Amino acid sequence: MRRSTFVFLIFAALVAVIFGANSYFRNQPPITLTLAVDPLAEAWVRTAVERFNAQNVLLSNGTLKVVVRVESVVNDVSVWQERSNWSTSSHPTLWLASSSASLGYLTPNLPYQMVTPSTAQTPLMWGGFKSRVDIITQNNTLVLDWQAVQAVAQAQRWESLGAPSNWGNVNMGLNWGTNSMAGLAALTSALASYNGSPVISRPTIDSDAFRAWFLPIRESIQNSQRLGEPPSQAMASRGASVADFALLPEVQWLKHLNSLIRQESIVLSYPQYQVLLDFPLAMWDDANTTPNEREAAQAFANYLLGASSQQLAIDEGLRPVNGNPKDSDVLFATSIPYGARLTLDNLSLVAPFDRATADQILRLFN
Amino acid sequence: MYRLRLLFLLLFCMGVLAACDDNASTSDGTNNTTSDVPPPNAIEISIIYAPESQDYLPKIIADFNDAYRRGINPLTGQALPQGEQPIFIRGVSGSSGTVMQGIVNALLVPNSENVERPTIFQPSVSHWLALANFQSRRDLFNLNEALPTANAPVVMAIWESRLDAIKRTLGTEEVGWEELLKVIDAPNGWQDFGLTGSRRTVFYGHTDPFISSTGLSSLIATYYAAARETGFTGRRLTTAVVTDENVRDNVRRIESLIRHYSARTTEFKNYIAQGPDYLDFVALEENDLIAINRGLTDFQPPEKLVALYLKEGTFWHEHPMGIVNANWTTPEQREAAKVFVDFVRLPAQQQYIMTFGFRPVIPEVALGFPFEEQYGVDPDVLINVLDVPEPAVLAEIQNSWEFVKKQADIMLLIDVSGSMAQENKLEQAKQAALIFLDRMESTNRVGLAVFSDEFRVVVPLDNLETNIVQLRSAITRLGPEGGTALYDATVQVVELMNAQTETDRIRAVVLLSDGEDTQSNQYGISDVEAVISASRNELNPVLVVPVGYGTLNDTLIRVLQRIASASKTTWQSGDPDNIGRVLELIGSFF
Repeated sequence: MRRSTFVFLIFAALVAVIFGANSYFRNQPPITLTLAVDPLAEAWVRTAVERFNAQNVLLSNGTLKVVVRVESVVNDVSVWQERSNWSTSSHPTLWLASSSASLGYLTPNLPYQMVTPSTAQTPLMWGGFKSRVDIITQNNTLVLDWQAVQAVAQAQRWESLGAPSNWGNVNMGLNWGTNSMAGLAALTSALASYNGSPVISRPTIDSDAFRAWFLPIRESIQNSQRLGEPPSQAMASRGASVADFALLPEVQWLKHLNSLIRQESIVLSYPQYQVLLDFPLAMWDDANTTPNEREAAQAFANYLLGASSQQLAIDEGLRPVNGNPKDSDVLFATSIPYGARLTLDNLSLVAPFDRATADQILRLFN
Repeated sequence: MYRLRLLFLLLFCMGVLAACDDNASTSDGTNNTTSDVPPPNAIEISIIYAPESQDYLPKIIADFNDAYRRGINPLTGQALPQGEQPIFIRGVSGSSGTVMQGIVNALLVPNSENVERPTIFQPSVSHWLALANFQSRRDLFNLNEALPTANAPVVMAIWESRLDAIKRTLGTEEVGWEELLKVIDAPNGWQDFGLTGSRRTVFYGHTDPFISSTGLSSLIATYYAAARETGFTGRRLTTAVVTDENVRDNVRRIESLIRHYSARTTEFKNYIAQGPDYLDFVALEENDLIAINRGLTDFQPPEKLVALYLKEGTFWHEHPMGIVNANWTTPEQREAAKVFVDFVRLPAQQQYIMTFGFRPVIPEVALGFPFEEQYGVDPDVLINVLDVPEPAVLAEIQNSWEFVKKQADIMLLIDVSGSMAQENKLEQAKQAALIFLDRMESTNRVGLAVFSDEFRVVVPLDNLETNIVQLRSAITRLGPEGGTALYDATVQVVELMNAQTETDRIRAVVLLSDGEDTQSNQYGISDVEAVISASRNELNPVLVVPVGYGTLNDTLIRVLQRIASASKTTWQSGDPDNIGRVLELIGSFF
């Protein structure tokens, strides 16, 4: 055999091996991780998932591609109250909840384990149409927080506070607590404010004094808010007829700010007693979970925590896990003149509490 | 070679046919041969939506199905990922109250005549979802998943000249029930408000609160207004308030303005479009008012109707899509339903829905056409919204309807002339009359009169619970005879009704005839018009609702039109196939 022929055959064999291997690996089914995500993070996560999948991330053995598919959008409370119909045979592999507290509230029926404790953050934020906030704060002599809000709610109608009669009832906006951690967080903030302490006291929740204090606030929340529409979105499309002011996650205010200010100027501020929603990523981890799946979940978590994905979160109105948004970040920069802040210093975070306490607080919505 | 050419030709033809099919499936779906066929392996779901959504949802449903048929995810506009199942949705419309009851029946009384099992229920307003949960004693609907899809406040549609007269006379820009009631209390009614030559009495209309969302919202708003008059200052109605007899008396006072009721706003918007002579104001969704002013109803309104956003408050109708959580829906279907809801809330769909007079539910879509002053609405209005009471209170309000609604005296006047024997017409009419009686509230007073050569009262007016057996028996025994003394009979029945002295009841004659007058020897059509018009200015004028039955000639149609016109009603056309529906429709007036 001539040398040149031999070299050609070797080359041809190599090409065949490379093509064959490539073809083999390409034909390997990817590891598909199904994902349930909280509505507050949905916009960010959908974009992040799209970009993650486009990157063709392979596992460490270099053969298996990881694909993430957003399967459902679900509120934490319906998961830990087991109303989401998740079971051993039917559940998403990954769950990006709105609060790490939710993972602590799960029963053994739902064996989700933390992959990463936080992928983004958002604090609670007060907001309201300026004409209403001026009355609540008595033209900035009071702080827009629970005590001032309670006093206005007690009046029931704006007219009795000197406002025009067509303002109607005093209406507060809130994410409905039985469905949303944001609603539970808002009530937690109210309890802390009432107690003057970040520690939630269970006897306080059922005390007559607290219930009497809270009743006008509860009454000021329209029943129509039980519908799943984010209050800030409803306020942006229907104005003060839905709610005059609200305590919502910051991300909801930021996302609808431009539409809200078309209705009327807005005032934003942070409550004294704060709850930070921290968006942990968790994975269903039982005897059937494979090491490859665990590695794939970690790869996705790492991607979410990477610089580009964190910037995507900021672009959608969420705060990064580390550091702060910058004044070049559009949603945050736009909201600063209305009262938002880039940094959140000296927050008095409400201390974590157990599932029984959470259930007890949610009964305030009944 | 020839075979090869033939094969190519065949393949070419198949390709052309396939392309044609693709084109068909991208049409608006109304005449789409493939639109009813789900793609292979599709998750099939269904929706029952409010009647007003019929304007826009069929096209949205067709677009949604079409995207999946083409392998596209309608939310992202991108190709479906491998393994993702397409979704296929079927939709029909139904009155919110009736459908709500049908869904509850499916759980509690599955053998009932009215049973519905959709995946999604889109009523006009969320009251029905809360009521369904209350009645079924389970979370049939997770309200948190029931997202609004089209916003419309309930408004009082009032003629511009009437509203201007109220504002001018009372010197206020803010108008609500307080001001409307001042018109009733004025000794000369509208004439005291500067509308010389107008009726003295005030005519109001709203729909049935058991069937129609607007009817239910109107009744709740009436209770709020009535309760405020008794000193109620709370922000949410309670059972104690709605069962208070003083409050109910005030509700009855407002209901006394009713000219007649109707089952659905679909019919009412046509009635009021006839002009101020027919009704002064009627509770409608804002989109219906826009449709009237745009000339989209059967009648062209003689002047502009304007939306009165009652100062005491009103409700948003959000057209929420409730996903049914029952044993006929699977978790997979419920997830698929969420995809459809998200699709309806996308900007493109919201922009389309807005063209039918609904306010968008997402702020990304700015308010535009047809939210213009020329169509009677205020795009920037600040709506004072009333709080929706708890479901138990809603149910109490609904149940009170029988006791607070305006009662009616109704005389059924049936033509039993010889011609009614033809084509089995009399037998069909008798069946329809029996159905009419079945649908009637027992607190109404009903009588039966007939005419051929002569007019004859067969069963005098009495409470239906007293004379129902007698009425049924008399109707069953009716037989054809003689000629048609239509004018004599109509004059006599109107005089009979005029003689009813109780002024707080609707007075109505339902006239059913198949032929022109052949036998009257006392009166002509002008006398009929005169006797009907004589009571026009009374609080409760005698309404004559003529129903032309069978094959009608032009002469009879003109006569029926003149009778209806004198009474400011509309004549109805019935035949053996639809006479039941026609009388059912008329029955909903009372």
